[in-house]
Amino acid sequence: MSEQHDDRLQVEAAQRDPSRFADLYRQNFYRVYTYVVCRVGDRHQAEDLTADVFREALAGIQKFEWRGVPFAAWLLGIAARVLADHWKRSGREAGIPAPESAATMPAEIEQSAMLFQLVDRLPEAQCRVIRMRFVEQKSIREIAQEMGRSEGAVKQLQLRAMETLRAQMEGAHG
Amino acid sequence: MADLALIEQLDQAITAMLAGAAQPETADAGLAALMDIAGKLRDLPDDRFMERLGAELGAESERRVPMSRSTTAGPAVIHAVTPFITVADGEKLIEFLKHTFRAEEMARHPHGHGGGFVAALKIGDSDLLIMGDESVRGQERPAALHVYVKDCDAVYQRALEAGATVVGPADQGFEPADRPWGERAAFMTDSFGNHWNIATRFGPNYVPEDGRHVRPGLLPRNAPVLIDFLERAFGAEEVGPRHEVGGRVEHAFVRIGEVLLEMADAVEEGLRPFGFYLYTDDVDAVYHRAVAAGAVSIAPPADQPFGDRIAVIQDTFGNQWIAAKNLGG
Repeated sequence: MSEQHDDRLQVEAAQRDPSRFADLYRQNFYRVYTYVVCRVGDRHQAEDLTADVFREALAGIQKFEWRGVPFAAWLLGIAARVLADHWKRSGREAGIPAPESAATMPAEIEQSAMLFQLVDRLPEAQCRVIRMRFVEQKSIREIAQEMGRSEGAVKQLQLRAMETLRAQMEGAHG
Repeated sequence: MADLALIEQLDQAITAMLAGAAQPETADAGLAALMDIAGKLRDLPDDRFMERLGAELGAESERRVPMSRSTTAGPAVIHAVTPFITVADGEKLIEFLKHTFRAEEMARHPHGHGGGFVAALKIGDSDLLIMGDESVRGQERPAALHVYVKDCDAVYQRALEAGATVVGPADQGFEPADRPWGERAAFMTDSFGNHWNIATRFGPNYVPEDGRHVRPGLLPRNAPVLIDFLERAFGAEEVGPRHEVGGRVEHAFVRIGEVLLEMADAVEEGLRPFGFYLYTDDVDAVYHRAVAAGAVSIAPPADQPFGDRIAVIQDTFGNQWIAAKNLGG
């Protein structure tokens, strides 16, 4: 309830003063990105389309009407439209994903979004290993060279980071 | 030793996953749970993209701010206040910033004829301007910056490696520690005379509510006098209560445009003047209003060969304020 209340206050603040849109962006970035990347599969395309979604949301923030539906659902509605346009442009009509009902928030998006937030809160060295490994897709050897640590130490950081993430995700859902 | 086996098994499974190989079934429930996390992490977004898009949307939203919501200096709107650090050896300072704060250099332009330059850097979402020029030796203008980072202790260590020291004697509370105002923070100076308050907010976001990674500071000899000047010259607003101890201002906040600045009365005897770029729609209006509020004119408004119209004014405490507008935009 209070989360919805905060959501509403933030949307209203951004409608009065667009410079407050930054709060909404930070809170919803991971959701929108996950929604998009799960559907296009390609990191660069996902970045371009995520940028389109937020640009459109900022341009249209005044049109958002509060009807008790989370702001994130409105954003995902924009994302579904942006994706449909993308498929049309790239001639992949068959792949158009059915837009989600605005009221439902797919659980896997929420889970991934939460996981990505938890990565941000890992100790710095662990966070760097996870980012280099999964975002930059570097090998353990490359990461070890860049961080000036042994390969064994990097693997250990990787395991520690993943165990922390698992425990925190289980804690959040347990 | 079981741990050692798990380290290797996990790494092999991740390597295979990233190479696109099908995931073999594993009977080990612990490993399977970790690989479930790894599967999701394959879609982890690039944090540099997130920052870049955030900055782009921030700039776009600034353009959409209704005039009545912006702080105005007469008819002129001040959009941004960017610390402008002037040092003799700019290259070394930039190295320090890159090493310590993972700063990114965005642009660099030559300045003067002695190999000097002005560089634009970003720490997180926040801009800094660095002028490096041998000719300013002895007249450097450092900065006092409150930088919000994800891991105060790690950044503190990197600052030490890069030659910074804590501001006071060791073990006097300047090292990283949890502070009652809701941050873990360390207080340091670098070899260029800059003050760094390296902080990590408690709670879900390590940055404060305004979302900025760098909050500029001012250290005047008499904060109330400076606040009064900033209100009259730039339409600044004081935010929140002042915290005073024994007639000395320990903490005050002012907002110019959308930027929050913090201020404390300087402890040292000498002046600690800083420099700031004020991006505005109307350089002339800002200049005239500041001069009317008692600022000293250092350079009246003029178009510059690098494509900006700028004017430079100085307040009572020696801080220089450079009102600027890009002529192309």
